[in-house]
Amino acid sequence: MSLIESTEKGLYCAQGQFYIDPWQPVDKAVITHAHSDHARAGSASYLCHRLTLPLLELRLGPNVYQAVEWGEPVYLNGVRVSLHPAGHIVGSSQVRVEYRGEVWVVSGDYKIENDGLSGAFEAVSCHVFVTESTFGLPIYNWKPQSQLFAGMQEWVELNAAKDRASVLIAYSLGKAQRVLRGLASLAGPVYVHGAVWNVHQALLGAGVPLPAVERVLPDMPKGLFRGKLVVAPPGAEGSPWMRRFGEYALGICSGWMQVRGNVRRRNADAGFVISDHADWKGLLDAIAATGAQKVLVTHGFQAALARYLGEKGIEAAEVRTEYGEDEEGAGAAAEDTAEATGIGETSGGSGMNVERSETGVAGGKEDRDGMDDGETDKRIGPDAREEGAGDASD
Amino acid sequence: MRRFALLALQLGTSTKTNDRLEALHDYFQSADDADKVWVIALFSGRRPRRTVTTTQLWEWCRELTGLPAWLFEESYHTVGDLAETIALLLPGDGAASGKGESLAFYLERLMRLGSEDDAGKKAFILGCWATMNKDERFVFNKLITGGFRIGISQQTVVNALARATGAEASVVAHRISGDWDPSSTAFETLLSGAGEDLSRPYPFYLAYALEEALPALGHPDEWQAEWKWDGIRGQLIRRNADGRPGPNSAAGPVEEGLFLWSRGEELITDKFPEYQAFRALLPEGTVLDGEIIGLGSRPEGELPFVVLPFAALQTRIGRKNVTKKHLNEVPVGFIAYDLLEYGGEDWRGKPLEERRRRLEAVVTTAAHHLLRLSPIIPFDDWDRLAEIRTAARDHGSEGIMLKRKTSVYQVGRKRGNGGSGRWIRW
Repeated sequence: MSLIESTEKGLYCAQGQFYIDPWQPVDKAVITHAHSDHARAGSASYLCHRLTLPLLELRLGPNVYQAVEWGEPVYLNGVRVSLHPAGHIVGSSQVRVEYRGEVWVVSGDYKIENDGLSGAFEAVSCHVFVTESTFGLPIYNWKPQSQLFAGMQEWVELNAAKDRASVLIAYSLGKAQRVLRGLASLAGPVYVHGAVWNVHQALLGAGVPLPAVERVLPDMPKGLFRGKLVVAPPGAEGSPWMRRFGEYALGICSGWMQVRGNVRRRNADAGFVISDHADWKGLLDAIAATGAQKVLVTHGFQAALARYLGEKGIEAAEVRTEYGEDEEGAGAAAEDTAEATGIGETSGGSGMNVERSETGVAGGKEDRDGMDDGETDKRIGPDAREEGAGDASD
Repeated sequence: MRRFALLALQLGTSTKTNDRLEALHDYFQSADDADKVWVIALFSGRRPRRTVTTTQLWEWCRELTGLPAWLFEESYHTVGDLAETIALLLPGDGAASGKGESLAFYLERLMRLGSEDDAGKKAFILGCWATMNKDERFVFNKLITGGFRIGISQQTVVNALARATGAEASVVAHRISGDWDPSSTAFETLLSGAGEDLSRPYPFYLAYALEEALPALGHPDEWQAEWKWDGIRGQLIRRNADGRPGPNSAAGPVEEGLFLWSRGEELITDKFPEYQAFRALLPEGTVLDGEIIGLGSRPEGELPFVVLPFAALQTRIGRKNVTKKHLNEVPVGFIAYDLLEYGGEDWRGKPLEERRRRLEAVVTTAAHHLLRLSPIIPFDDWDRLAEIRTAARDHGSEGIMLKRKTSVYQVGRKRGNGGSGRWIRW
């Protein structure tokens, strides 16, 4: 029997009796990072990195959590488990699992370039490497982030010269902080959506240094945003919440912007190809660096990557998971809703998420408040949607 | 090329017409003249013949990247555009090593590439890729595959040019239309109108569908009603009786002095040899706007002619050679409804009523059975016109055209109920 296998509930280590990023409630869940397709509600206990903890508390509410540092071993029924930086978002970790000399590493989501926030990706030697493949095609190759931020800053300044607001769409957890740091030298206040604001506060509280931002509040005068930068999650795109910005230019920060058609389909003024996932070369380099004899490929272009590795002489197979249902992994559609409802729970179609948020999945309230305009703390339902996306009835 | 790639990127992503206009305006102010001419050509649908096949492009790209064919196809499937797929797959950014050749340089080399062998073609293309960045490679590949299309109207190009050169938009539109060769036409010459191409048509004025209730249009007296014909919109040009060849013209038999343009700005003179008879009947410097349409031989009913269904006309269009038999079976007439030039003078600025009076005189004087006036439908009130309209099909017509009698002949499709009015199809 394999040390880790794919089951109905998630990737399971039978020897250690724990799951890694399970998509159904389990007794013991080891969490790679706080994105909602990897960290789901309902499990009895969670093990995660110290910096993932405040994010899980924000998104999943109170639970039994155990937080560890990178490299700090934990023994679960005799299986040695340790977390190692994955470079994806704050706290994101690869899970190293060792039993009787056999080593497996589950990557979660990762990127190679050090964003200064998430910790530098660490290549961990192993026998079997379970890798993501979100951008597992050779058309995906990223520019260095310094170049990207320079381009973004230029764009914001150009809009400011035309007296327009710049609205950058970035996932509230991960991309938003990265963008805010990358554009920290911009003059004047930077405004953020409530969902971004909540993550910001949670991270500041955990001691993560981030630039100062201002939360967009309902009573702010329209003209305030002229020439300014606003950072908002995909759920806000095209929603009534955007009307307050008057004339604005829309820029989308996502690896999917690599393909021109996606920029057009999103009706964006600019697409910035910035991703928290590894590009094609990054995936291949990371895989090679582990020295793994066998590679299991999860969510993304898993068929293409597995076949390519096979042809290069690396034993590889696809593994079915339920990751990539939101955040960047899902492309445009699903992530919008996940961000819009702010719910740390996704398992399928977009409409469902809203249903769930309203029937009160644990932690839902906190997140909904994050999406709220900030007028009160208790608004739910249609009001919560005002900041949200396409679900709004208008 | 870098400047052009940037323009293409700006135009391709901008969601605001004003931004597009500005990007074009900036381009026309700052780019090389030769490049500007090419940009005008590309945006008005003129493009070089394809000299390299898409199969060659993708094979060379595969060779450079070492990717298996299936992975290339998988990538293409995700991107949905071959030129872009190749641009995304090609390794490295060669921009630093490039000399920054101009758009005109690449296009003219591409046109000459047709005479080279495959090895020569490959060497050229690979050499180009090696000195370009991703965006340049994309537009370069697009130019090769011939799929260069950017969601921008010719009108926007015209407006940007008008702003950049200070000329009237209608004048610019006229000058960049017609038959000219971007590789031998100077920007100055093109826009100054010097070296005027005698076959050059005016941009067509297009109609809007009726959106409001008829009474909202005002008093019926202010409007001219005609039948709307289901043929091919055409512009018939009678210029250059002495057969002086135009300097930039590749239009063919210039000496004939009679040209026919379709609305798609295609010169289709040769398809309708019967029109050559009009050459001797129309005065020098005459341009008519009208409908190319099959005419039946036996007039019956209210109209002085019988129109054939569009299907009959179609049997004539697709043919390379028109034989006597075709001419006899489907004689094609021209139903004239406007006069754009008379005595070599641009008449578009005159009110419709005045243009119509002169048009009637011109057509009546020509007196040819295939050159017809579009009849005016008399009506006193809107209800009566609605009643008349129900008989449209009986006349082989699709409906009614309404034109304000005071209106000037504009460019493209113009909205607005203002005094200049507009053309409405109903």
